[in-house]
Amino acid sequence: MKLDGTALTVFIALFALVTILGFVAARWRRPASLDTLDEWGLGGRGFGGWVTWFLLGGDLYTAYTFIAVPGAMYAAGAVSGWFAVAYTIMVWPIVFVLMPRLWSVAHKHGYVTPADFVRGRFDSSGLALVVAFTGILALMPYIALQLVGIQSVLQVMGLGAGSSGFVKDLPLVIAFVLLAAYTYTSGLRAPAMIAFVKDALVYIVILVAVIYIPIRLGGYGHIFSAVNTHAHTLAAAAKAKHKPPPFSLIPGHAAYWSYATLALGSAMALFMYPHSVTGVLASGRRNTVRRNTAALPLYTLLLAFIALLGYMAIDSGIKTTNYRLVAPLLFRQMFPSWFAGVGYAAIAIGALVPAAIMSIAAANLFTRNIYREYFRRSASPKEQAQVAKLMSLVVKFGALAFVLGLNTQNAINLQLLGGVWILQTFPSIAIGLFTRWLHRWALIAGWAVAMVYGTVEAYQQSTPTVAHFASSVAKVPLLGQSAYLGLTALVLNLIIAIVGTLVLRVVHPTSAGVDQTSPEDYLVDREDEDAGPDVAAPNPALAG
Amino acid sequence: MAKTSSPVSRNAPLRFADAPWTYVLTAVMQGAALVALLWVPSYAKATPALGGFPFFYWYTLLWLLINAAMQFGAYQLLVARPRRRRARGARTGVAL
Repeated sequence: MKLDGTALTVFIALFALVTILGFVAARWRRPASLDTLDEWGLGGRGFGGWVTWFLLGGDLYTAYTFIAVPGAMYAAGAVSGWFAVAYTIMVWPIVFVLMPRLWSVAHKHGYVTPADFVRGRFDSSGLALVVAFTGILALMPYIALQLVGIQSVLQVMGLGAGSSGFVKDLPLVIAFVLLAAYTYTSGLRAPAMIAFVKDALVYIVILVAVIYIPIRLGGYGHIFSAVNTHAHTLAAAAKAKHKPPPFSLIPGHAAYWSYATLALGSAMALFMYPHSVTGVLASGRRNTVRRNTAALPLYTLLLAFIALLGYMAIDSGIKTTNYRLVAPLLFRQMFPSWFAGVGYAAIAIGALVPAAIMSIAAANLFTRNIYREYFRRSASPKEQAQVAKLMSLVVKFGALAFVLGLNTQNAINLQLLGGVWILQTFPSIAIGLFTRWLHRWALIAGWAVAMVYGTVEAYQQSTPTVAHFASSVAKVPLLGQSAYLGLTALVLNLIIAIVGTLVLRVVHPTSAGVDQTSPEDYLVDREDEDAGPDVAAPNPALAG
Repeated sequence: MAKTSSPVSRNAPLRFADAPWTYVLTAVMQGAALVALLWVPSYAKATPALGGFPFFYWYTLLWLLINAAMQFGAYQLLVARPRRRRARGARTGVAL
């Protein structure tokens, strides 16, 4: 693609701004020292309502959202695209119920990761290792996908066109080295601060896009009718070849189960991801996140309009088989160069915030639940922070090598699998917040079987053009309907955990371990009567 | 419960035994969007359209708004109102 100088200039200026912010963030709410995981990895555990809103929004709605969701809408319509809107509505009631309990118990016992909680609750470093391992495994491709997002934008801007090898990838490498550097020095404060710029850019770009583009195209009625025509054309072509229709504007009978289970399974999985938990534990009070569930759906509304960009692309006649380029190509076609540059910057900066938080979350997991547990029992807080900083570099460069070395399709496949995998920690984390009736060994057994089942089942999904990992929907044994295979695996997981628990209670009643938490621990809040509702803690170390 | 042994903090969460009906109501509020959106056959249709949006699309967005309102209401019932009540109780010296 041709190099767009104006767009590139705007892009570089905005990118430079957030890089400076990233380094300055180390001074924000400056603690006495950044040398503990509470400070480096959780930003001091004192973020109030506003910061939490920006941080969680910036955390959960990733560059991949801007790239994959419009791409899925463009390629296949409602079932694989719009379900993302349904699931990001359904996630808030789940957060409302679960997350205050997790915040309280983590606050009381100083837990930094979800695996820390599982270790204390079930008295099992093995189960904690399982949760930590799953978290890191699911995060790696997710971080890689943020890079794929940046790559798509650079490609549409025409950067690296014509050159080959290392020069072609140089812009991506530079962007990532900068990200790695300020995450290293500033910890969670860097993405928290950049999230403000990111969200401002995203809101501006999407607000303009959803008003300006439909005006140019003749209104939403025109867009939807063009998509409807498109769907019928594709369906007729598929019917001639005796294949199922590839595109649906409205889910048909056969897709009801798929749509509902994809939405429910994804909603249940979202806050099992370690980076979501990091965002929650960084908030200052028990109910900060709960109050935020009324305001966070604003991001879901944004996502809905981002999804519709895929339909706008159909109406505006954009033709590409590389679906991840759909949103940037639409910006390129519809906006003047300078504003397209703002749009590209929004997507790329949108990738940096989650990539930073994810690498911090993965680093926390490694440090707390692998390094300290199995290598250095006596690791001091300072040593833990140092290991986590180094680990955040390893994770990021691992993801970079992954994207540069392998086909990007692999990253997308593995990301789909990541959702299936992380959902298998739901019994240990989410159910564990309410009861420890399930036995630690039974939980490990259920997890192991479900991981194998989910991975094999996903591997076997094929279409005429894609040999493996073609879909995350598969026929459910005994039910005869197609459904999200992550949720099917979770049901299998739970059955094994329940049966295993019943058996273990009979044959080995003393093996359940000792709960290190008490029922009241799940209800505690920061005790400072003077602070207003949900204001960040008036910890003198954090003021200013 | 440990209610008598520990001082009642302004931030202590409302327990089920304190206000069962509040709990039932918030549970319904939290569950509403889940039930509505999982019941796909009830809204997987094109008409009636609204502002060019097929029913399926605007109905999903309608639930986005309803759910946000429900989240706000549930927070008020479960967290904010009990806290205000306790603060009033503390000022007037009325034991809870």
